[in-house]
Amino acid sequence: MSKHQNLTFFLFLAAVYCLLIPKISYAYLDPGTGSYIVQIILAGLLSVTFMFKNFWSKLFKILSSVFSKKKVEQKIDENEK
Amino acid sequence: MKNKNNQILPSSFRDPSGFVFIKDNKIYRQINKIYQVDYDYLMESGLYESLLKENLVIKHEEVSLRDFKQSDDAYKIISPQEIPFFSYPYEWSFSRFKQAALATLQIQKIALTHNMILKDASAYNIQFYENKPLLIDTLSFKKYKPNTPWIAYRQFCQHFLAPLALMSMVDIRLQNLLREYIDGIPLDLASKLLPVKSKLSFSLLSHIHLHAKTQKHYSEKFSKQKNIKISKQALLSILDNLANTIKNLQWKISRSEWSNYYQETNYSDESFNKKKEVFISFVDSIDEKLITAWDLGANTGEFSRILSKQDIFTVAFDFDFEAVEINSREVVKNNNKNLLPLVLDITNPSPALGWAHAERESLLERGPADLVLALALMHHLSISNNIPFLKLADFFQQIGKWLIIEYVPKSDSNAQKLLWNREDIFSDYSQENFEKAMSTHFDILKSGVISESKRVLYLMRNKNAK
Repeated sequence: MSKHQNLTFFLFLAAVYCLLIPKISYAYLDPGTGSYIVQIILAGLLSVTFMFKNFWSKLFKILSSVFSKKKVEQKIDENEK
Repeated sequence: MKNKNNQILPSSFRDPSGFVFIKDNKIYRQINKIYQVDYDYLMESGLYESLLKENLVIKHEEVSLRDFKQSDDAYKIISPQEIPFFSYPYEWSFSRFKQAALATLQIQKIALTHNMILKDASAYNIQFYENKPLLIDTLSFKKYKPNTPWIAYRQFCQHFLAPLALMSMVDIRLQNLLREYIDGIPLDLASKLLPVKSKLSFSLLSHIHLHAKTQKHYSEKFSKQKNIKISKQALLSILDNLANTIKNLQWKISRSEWSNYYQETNYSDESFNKKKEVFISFVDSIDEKLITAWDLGANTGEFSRILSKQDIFTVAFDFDFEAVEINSREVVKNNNKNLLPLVLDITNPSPALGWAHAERESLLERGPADLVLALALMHHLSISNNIPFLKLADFFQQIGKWLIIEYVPKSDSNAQKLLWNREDIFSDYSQENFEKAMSTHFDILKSGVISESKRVLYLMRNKNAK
């Protein structure tokens, strides 16, 4: 495992620990609650990486469109010459 | 679908939003008033159009409510596009199964952008039509309430992720567990069966192992209900992670006895070409329009492809997972819209499953086909499985109108192979007895010896078929 993966794994376990420990008894929760809890844990962990991923892909798109525009302009310039 | 005319399909009772019924041999879906708001939103929000554009949902038309309604609580009646053959997840090839899973996630993602969500993620809601996985349950959507979790997340994991992970990381045959567990593989079972290395994958650790633990933990506890909030962005990130997890699940094909059949059979190239020639001439001689065909023991689909090219929708069954996978990949590569390769052991075909044995149809209930192929198959059924010729004839007459069947003599090297390690108790195994048995239900119209192989191809017609 890389350092990055180790850190993610550690954060993941910490989140699991924090979320699973409180057990206050009042109202009955349906069996789907477990699935909701996992979604909350994942939501916290994944949305950050997802945001970065989206940010990079958008940035990449913008940069590549800027560069491709420049290339097209260069080509037009060359053709005009 | 046979014998179900003018009745409500027994598979559509779970959802109060509506149900499917058959009238005059056509499928309709009644949408109940209880689902009015969601249905209108689906149609008006642009979601239905978007999904249709992406080939992800079944197309439908609204028909007259007065003429077709089945009860007073009907809001609309729709007539969906006909699917030529209903297949089930326990019959799909590995890559098809993945496609169905990814399509479900894609649908959920598009739905979210239109402020709707999938309220269920059943694998049975996906059918393959013209080489594409389609959502057939138009009533699967509901309006998205901001900050709520995905209600169908557990079902998605049980119906798609768990079986695919087991098939990929443990054994492909674990797909058969889906026959036992109609609502998907329980996550605690999947967690037990998956190897330790699956816990090293962050996604599988979360979606399966931790998911199983939390399910157990919270199903047995009385706990204070927390206000569970998940943003749309967070839901999208979970969907993205699920899609990547599914994409990363692979199944490596190794050469197997059957998937290599065409290369290793005792057919010479000349005999094989002759077989194809005779086969095509038989198909051409059938003087009626053939709509559907079932190729039993299709292997990698050599003969199924010939039929599919003639615009005959062909289901290519084989019990060998690898052969079906190879066939499936070929279908996707060539965008063959008329061929559906499925895993099925013809000696133990898919049974009727679910409540009152009526939620999932048996193979027989999904027939009959116009044409049935049983090529290089009968010696396996008769010698390896001790199925008498009369029983073969009896089964084939139930599933099809026309039959092209290959008789393999006992002297054939492949038949001899089957006899190597067992006593030859098949004294009745002869061409004469085969023809006699088949004649009880079929008219033998044509026969042709395939060059030096001594095998014989027959074209037969079911005596009882209209």
